Order: sequence, then structure tokens, then C-alpha cells
Amino acid sequence: MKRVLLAIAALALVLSAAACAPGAPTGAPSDQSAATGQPEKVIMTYLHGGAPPADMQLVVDAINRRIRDRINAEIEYYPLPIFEAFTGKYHVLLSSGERIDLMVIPFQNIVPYVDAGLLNPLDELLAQHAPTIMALSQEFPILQTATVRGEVYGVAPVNATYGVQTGFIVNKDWVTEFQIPEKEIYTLDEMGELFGAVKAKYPDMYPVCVNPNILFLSPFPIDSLGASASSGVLIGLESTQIVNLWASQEYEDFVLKMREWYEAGYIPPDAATTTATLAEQTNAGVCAAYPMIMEPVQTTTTKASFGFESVGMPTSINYYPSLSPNGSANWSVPITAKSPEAAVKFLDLMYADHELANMLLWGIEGKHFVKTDVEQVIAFPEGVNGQNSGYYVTYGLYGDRRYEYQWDVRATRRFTDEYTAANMKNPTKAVGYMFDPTGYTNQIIAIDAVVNKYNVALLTGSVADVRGTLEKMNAELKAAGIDEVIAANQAQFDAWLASR
Amino acid sequence: MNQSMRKENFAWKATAHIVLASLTVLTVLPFVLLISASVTEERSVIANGYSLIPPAFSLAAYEYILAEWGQIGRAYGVTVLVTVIGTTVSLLITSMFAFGLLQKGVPGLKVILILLLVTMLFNGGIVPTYYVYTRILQVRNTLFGLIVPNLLMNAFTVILVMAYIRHNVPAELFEAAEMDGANLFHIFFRIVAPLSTPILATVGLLTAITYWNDWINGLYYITKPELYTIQLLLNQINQNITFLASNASKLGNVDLRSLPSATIRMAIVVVAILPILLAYPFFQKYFAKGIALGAVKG
Amino acid sequence: MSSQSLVSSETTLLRKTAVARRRRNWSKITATYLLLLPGLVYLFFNNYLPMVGIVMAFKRIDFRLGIFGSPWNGLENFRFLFASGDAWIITRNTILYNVVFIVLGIVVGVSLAILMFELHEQKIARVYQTLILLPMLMSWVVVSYLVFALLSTETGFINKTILPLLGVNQPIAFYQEPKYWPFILVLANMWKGIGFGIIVYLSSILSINPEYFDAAKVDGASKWQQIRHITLPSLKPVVIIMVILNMSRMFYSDFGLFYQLPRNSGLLYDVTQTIDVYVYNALMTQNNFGMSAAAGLYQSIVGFILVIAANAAIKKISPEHALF
Repeated sequence: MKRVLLAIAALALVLSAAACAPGAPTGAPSDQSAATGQPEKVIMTYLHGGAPPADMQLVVDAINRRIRDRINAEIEYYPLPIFEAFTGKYHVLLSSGERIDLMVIPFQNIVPYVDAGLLNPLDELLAQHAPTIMALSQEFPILQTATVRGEVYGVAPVNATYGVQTGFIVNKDWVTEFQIPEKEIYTLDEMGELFGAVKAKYPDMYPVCVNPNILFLSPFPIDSLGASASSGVLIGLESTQIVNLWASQEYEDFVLKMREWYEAGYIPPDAATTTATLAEQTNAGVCAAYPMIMEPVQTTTTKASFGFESVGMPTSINYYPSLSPNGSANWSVPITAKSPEAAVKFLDLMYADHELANMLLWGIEGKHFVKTDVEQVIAFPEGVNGQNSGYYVTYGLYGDRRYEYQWDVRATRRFTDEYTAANMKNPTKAVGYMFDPTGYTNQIIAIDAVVNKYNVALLTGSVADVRGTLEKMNAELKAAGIDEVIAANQAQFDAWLASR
Repeated sequence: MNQSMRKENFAWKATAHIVLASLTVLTVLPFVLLISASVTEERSVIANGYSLIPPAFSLAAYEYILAEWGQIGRAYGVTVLVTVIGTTVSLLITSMFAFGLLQKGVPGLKVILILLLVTMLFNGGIVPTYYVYTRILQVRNTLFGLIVPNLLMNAFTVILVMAYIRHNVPAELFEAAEMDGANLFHIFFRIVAPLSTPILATVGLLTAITYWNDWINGLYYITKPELYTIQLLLNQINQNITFLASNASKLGNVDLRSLPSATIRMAIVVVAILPILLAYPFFQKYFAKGIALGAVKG
Repeated sequence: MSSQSLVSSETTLLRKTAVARRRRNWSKITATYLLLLPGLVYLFFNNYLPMVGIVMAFKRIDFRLGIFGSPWNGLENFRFLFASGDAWIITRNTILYNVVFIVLGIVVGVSLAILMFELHEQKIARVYQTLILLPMLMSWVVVSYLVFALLSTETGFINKTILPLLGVNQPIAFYQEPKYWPFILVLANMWKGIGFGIIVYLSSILSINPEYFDAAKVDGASKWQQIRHITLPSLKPVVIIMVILNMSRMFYSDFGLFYQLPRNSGLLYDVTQTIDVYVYNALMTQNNFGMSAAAGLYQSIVGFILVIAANAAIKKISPEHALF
């Protein structure tokens, strides 16, 4: 027996040595291509949904053919599953010297990356090599969420829409069945009536889908001042007084209403802890309405994803708050970059060349998509679908997203521009302002801990004693230091207001 | 054996059966639930929850797995390879280390023991570990990267093996062999190891399960899908679904229907658990004591 | 004079034996270190080289300057552990659960191992052994789905089937009521881990020389007496080792158990949040490696102190069982 064990062990060691084919050597030598006239290499992160798409290299080659002569550089993808961009993976990669020239930081605050010294400031590079971005930044706040202490560390894509309007996506059949008139804004009570009617007719359903990832959105304008609600919010378009959201009357009224709906059976009882996703809930016929932002694109996907046509029913006005870092992505040049100028040139090209941005997003025309007669709308080529396409499920984070090809006409510029224009008519007083939380990290961590404790339960109506819970929550928030943080925020805000 | 002793024996055996059988049922029940969920129709699972007997039978989940077999089958292969190699090498290194530490008359062993214990307590964290493995040892996208980091040997099992040998393998045995001029390796492989099969089997099983279940090494050191392990794959799928579920509105272009549903995830789990069950009987043969001590004592 | 010479001759004799012993032992020493070599190499690269990273706990990390060039900031990184009102709660939770887990683990594990030993000659014992180990294969994520299936308000097995059987018509919202969770968590942990404990103790019992039991039976000892005088004492070393080793983990917790199983339900935090879960939640958005290093160091130091203390205590009681 021992001999067998020894033999296995020896075999194991030999096999492992053989399998130990070294991976791509880290810490590539300094890029000397500029000197030799060879195209510089730009290694950029490419976010995918779990496995790199089959045709990835084909697309990269096509892109390189397009850009090589224009900026004397070629790109190389560094594929990452998108959720790893949140796990501190970037920190680990960059701190061990992994070369990345251009990286995207999606849906999170860029400040921790800057504080950890992982990013290069971009002001000079942008001024020299990115004319399109500089021009666009006059019109759109694409540098705002990445400007930390006066320096620019990242560039956001130009969003297809700016501003917010909250409401519900509702099964179209219900609207016709219960003869709901079309209105500009519906009050929560009116929505409640609709849900009541649905519940009466279909008692086994819980009309509104909520789960820990899809929560109710406030019907009153809120501005988180470029950070999260944990550091205070402005309520209402005219306000310049930063307040604690959870101590406000508006919030209390709101969650009391949610509790009413829970007790009336409009909300699934397990909403706060369910494992089901929105798709699973709707597909099972449990519910057919959910809270969502009223972007035009939202109603276009429900037929394919959930099986019903839908309409948007707004419950808030259109308004334009200060940009939240969680709602956008930022392209940055990390400290391990070896070709920062080429990287910025390529980045600028993403904004200037809309075909290029669409290639990054959708792949090769003719192979992965075809243009249709309708402007900006594309479709699958013959025989290709979401399952077998070699380049699908990629994430829309490139360049000027107003020019992204869409699969449905209602998601194109005609509609999104209209939505954005409506929103921008109602700016809050804090547009352009971002709170700098330096020095208050510990309080914010403590405040976040309290918020996480109560937030989901309150917003899904799962707590029986709403008032008592709010009291407890606010007591704990005070202990965590929310008043200090708000005071600091207010001081910074007042100073910013004064300087305009 | 007299009457009362026989009765007592019976009582004990009966109690043992009752207790262990009920415990077994309790441990098996969740698995039945799992398997049942994987063959239930998706709609029923969401609307009615899980149940022991599927109200609506459907093999759709397994069809999906068969369709994706390329990826899943390959992940299987990688995981099996990693587990077999890892467990074997780990057992070897661990038991050799444990035996080495037990030697008398060798200077410096107490220091090494303390160094070992310290590793159980203090850890540099992922940043320096990642640096060591990727910059110094270059294990990215290799089998080494799945087998070695944090899993190859740990203080807990070394100490278990040490304790077992110290208390169950009589020192006289190897002192006698030493006197006869046998070298240490001979003593270890021919005398001590065969007598330690229970603990080696125990530790071996634990190690095999740990390797089978691990996805952290894959998360950090593997970027090529060809080297994904089955647990990493499952974890990727779950994380992806959770991520998309909470961010679909920001991304806009995602077809949520193409994501694996709850029943598919359950099916992948079932598929991921089955092979390791084969390891159990393999190790169990060795749980029972090895050579009777009596024979050696004479 | 005479004593001097006696001493000197004694010393010479000792020295000669020592030289002889050393000469005899060189091969043993080499062989021992050869046995230790693979493990030592592994420990060096896997544990000791990265251990320099512990300094991150005391630095304000700026990767531009590297880990060693970053400025020191004293105990600043540790503050967040104590800033929230929950610091005491998370510590209390971690310690209490661990104590319960250790005690129950030993009591239940040993009892079941003894029962298993009763049957070890029968084939059915193998079946029990296999099946009891099954839960180790399931990750906590999957278990959390199954527990949700059990406890969910709407579709859960307990609320839909069991409670109506008992005549209770109002469903219990388990995920909002903290009071059930200490039991649920302890039971879940037992379920998952007991199999391994049983095997460890069983393998110890199996190596007891059967002659002892035969002799005891001849002397007319009852089962209870056999257990008290033979089985349990032979388990003492293993149990003591398990206790000491678990002391080092006193401030750690099984992340999957405390985070996944309660589905991260905020209302349950007061009874389900341990130090590891708290640190995870706190640093999810901060990505501050100095702080996570500080948290890890905090846990390590407490574990270190406890191990030393436990070992010292054991040394006083039964010195041959101490670790070092």
C-alpha cells in the first residue's frame, strides 16, 4: 500500500511540475514600442459575466485593425468577471504589480482607490490627449464622480439618460383591465388602489415584486450629495438643508405606507429575505409589477425577460440630483500602467468614434449583430441568438452611451433625450457637488452598519412596529455619529454654494 | 458473558441504532430536498417552495447541464485532478512533518513546533500572499495555484496526527527499530504509517473534502476558464446572478431570462457533490485499526 | 583535589558519551530534517513570507509607496472595530457561539462516537459514518437556500406544514425574529460539523487495545464502567488537543454560517453578527486593506493569548497532554 502511495505521490509531483506551465509573466518589461515605432500595447479590463465570450479575440483583432494606425496602439483585453470588480480584486491585482493600462471601476465610489494610491491623476493626460472628453465634460458631468480633492482620477461614460424619475413597471394587462387613466404622476394611494384591485381579483398573487435587490424608491426627490444617504441627504428641489433621511417625516410616511401594503397582501411576505430574483418571481406568476426608475428602456425588456408587456407608472416628478458614484462607472489609469498616454488616447477614441464603442459592446457587425432599418436599432443575424452568440452579455460602459446601438427603438436617443431633458429641467441645489468623506470613514462604516440592519426590512414593509423601529434606528444612528457627518457635509456644501 | 451483560449489550446497541439512524435521517433529509428541488419545475419552486416530493416533475435543469457539459465536464476533471493530487501530497507532507516533530534528541524541534502553531494564529492576509504566489512563485493559471496555496498543509491536521502517533503508536516500537539501525524513513513508512491508518484516513478524507469544496484559490489564481473547478464555476454563476439581479437597471442590456434559475443552480450543486461521495468508501476502509498491536508486542 | 579530579573525570565521561551520542545522532537529525523539509518550505512561502504583510495593520496604505514605504498610522486602522455601538455585541456573539460550539461539539461528538463504536463491527456502521459526513459537502450558500425552504414565511415547510399540524395558524416570520436564531445557528453548525468530530474521536477509540475491554468484561464491568474507565480516559488527549486548538479560533467564526444562513437579514444582526461578518460588511465598500489587516491581527492576538493560557492551564493539570 505504501508503495502505491509513494508512486502516486511521485506521479503527482511530476504531473504538477508538468502542469506548472507558467502563466503570462507578470510585470512585463517597460513598453519601449514608442521608441521603436511599434504600436504601443494598451491592456484594458474587460468585464464579462463569468466566462470570457468565445469570440473575444476576434473582436479584439477587429478593433485593433481599426485603431492601430490612428493612435499607434493596440489593445489587449484583461478579462474579469464583473462581480470581481467589487471584491477588492483590483487592489490585490494592482498591489502585486499586475500591469493594467486602462481599467473600469463600475458602480462604486472611486475614493477608496484614490486613497490607496492605486490610480494616476489624469488632468494633464486628458488635457493633452483627450480633446473629445474635455469638450464633452463641459456639457455632461463625466469627470465629476471621479474628481477627488480637485484632481481628476477617472472618466465616466456619457450616460444615455441623466436624472431620475421613480415609479413602477406594471403589467400592461392590469392597466387595461382596471381602466387606469394615463397620468403624469400617480400618488402612492392611487397605486395602492390598483394593487388592491389586482389582489381582489387574483387573491393568490402578491402584486408588487420586491426583494432585497429591488426595493421601493422614494416618491419625493432625494439628493445624496454625491455619496450615499449615510452622509445625509437633501429632500426636495429647493432644499439646501442636509438632513438625516431616516429621521425625516417623508421617510416615515413612506415606510408606513409600505407596511400598509404588506399587511394588505400586496407585497410577498418573504420579500426581505427571499432567494428568488425578480425574474424568478415574475416568471412564477407571483407578481407582475415592481418599483423601478422610469427610463424608457425599462419597459422594453419585460416581454423577453418576464413574459409580459409593461407600462411605466411614475410616482415622482422628473428631477436631476447630484450624480451618485454608485450609478456610473469610471475609467481610470492605474499606477501599474506602462502606456498611460496610449491608454488615454484610446479612451478618448471611445467617445469620439461611436462605431468603436459599439464594437467593444456588441462585437463585429454582420457576425454578432446587424443593423436594421430603424436608426440605432440592431438585431441578431440569422441563426444567432443570446445563447449561441460568440459575443453577448457584455456591459454597457463605453464612450458616449447615447450612441449605443439598442435592440428596441424605445431605448434609442429619441426617447432617452426626451427623458433626460425632462429631468434636467428640475435640478436640485446640489448638482455638481460631491461630499469628501475623508476623516469620517469610521463613522460612515458604523452608520452603514446600522442602515443595513434596518433598511431592507423597513422598505419591504416587513416590520410590524414601524415607529418603534425607526426610533431605535435613529438612536443607533446618533450613536454611530450621523450628526457629526451631516454637520461636516453641510459645512462643505455651504462653502461650495458660496463659491458659485 | 452472563444474562445481565447480554441485556446491557442489547440495550446499548439498540440505543446506538436509534440515535444514529435518526441522526442519519436528519442529515440526509436536506440532500433529498436538494435533489428533489433539482427535478422540480421552476415555477413550482418559486411559487410553492421546496418539498420532499416534487409536485411538478421536470428534468429541464439537467438538460441545461448536459447542454453546457463542455464547461461543466471540464471543471469536473480539473477538480478531480486537484483533489487527488492535493490530498495525496498533503497527506504525505503532513504525516512526514508530524512524525519528524516527534523525534527525540533532535535539536530545534520545539522551535519548529512553535513556528507551526504561530501559522495557525497569524496570517499576512491576501495581499502579500497573492504577491508571493503570483510574483515570486508564478502559479497563476497552473494546477499548482489550485493545490498549494493555503491547502497543502495546515497546523491543525499536523497536530492531530502528532497527537495520534504519540498516544497510539508505542515509542518502544520505533526505539527498537532505531536500535536495530533502521533509518527514519524506513521506520516511518513501514512501521508508523501502517499503524496510523485511522488518523491518516480521517485527515485524508477531511483534506479531500476541503480540496473538493475550495473555490478561493481559483478565484484568485485562475483566469482561464479551462482551469475552473466545479465549485468556482458554481460560485461564479451564483455571484453573477446576484450581481445582475441587483444591477440590471444600471446595465440595461441584460437578458435576465438567460441566467440559470434556482433549479439549475440546485442541479449543479447535486452534480458537484456526487463524485466526492465516491471518496468516502475509499477512506473508510482505513478507519478501522490496522495491524493488531498484540502481534508486534510479542 | 580529589573532588576536582572526580568532577573532571565525570565531565570527561559525560563529554565522551555526549560526543558518542551526537555522532550517533547526526544521521537521525538529517533524516528528521529531511522529513520536515517539504513542510518547512511550504510554511516559508505560504505563511512566513506573506506574514510581513501584518504591518499593513499599522499603516495607512498607499500602494504608490508600496507596503513598506507607506506611512505608519498607529492604531488608527483598529478604530472602526470599536466605533459602532455594536463592538460589544459582535464580540459577545463570536465568543458565546464558539464556546457553545466547542462544548457541544465535544459532548455530542464523543457520545456519538461511543455509540458508533458499539456498532463498529456491523456493516450498517459504515452507512451511518458515510451519511453523517455528507453535510460537510454542502456549502453554506446551498444550505441557506434549503433553510430558507424550511423557514420561509410564505412557502416554508415549518409554516406551511408543521405549524398547522400543531394547531398554530399564524406563521412565524423567522427571518425577522432574533430569538430563534441562536438555536438555529447552533443546530446548523452541529449538523454540518458533527460528522467530522465523530470520526476523529472514533478513530481514537478504535485504537484502544481490545485486550483492555476483554479484561474489563471478564472482571464483570458494566458498559458504563468500561466507558468511564477505558474509553473516556483514552480520549482525553484528543479532546484536550481539540480544545486548545479551538481556543486559537475563539475570535474567528465560520463566515458562511453567520452571513449566508440568516440571509444577511439586518433585523437579526444582534444575534447573528460576528466579528468576521461585521468586518466583511464594513469593508465591502471601503476596500481598505490596512483595516482588514487590523481586524485579522486583532483576532489573531486574542487567539494567541488564549492558546498560551489554555496550554499553561493544561500543563498544570496533566502536563503530558500539553501542546508545548
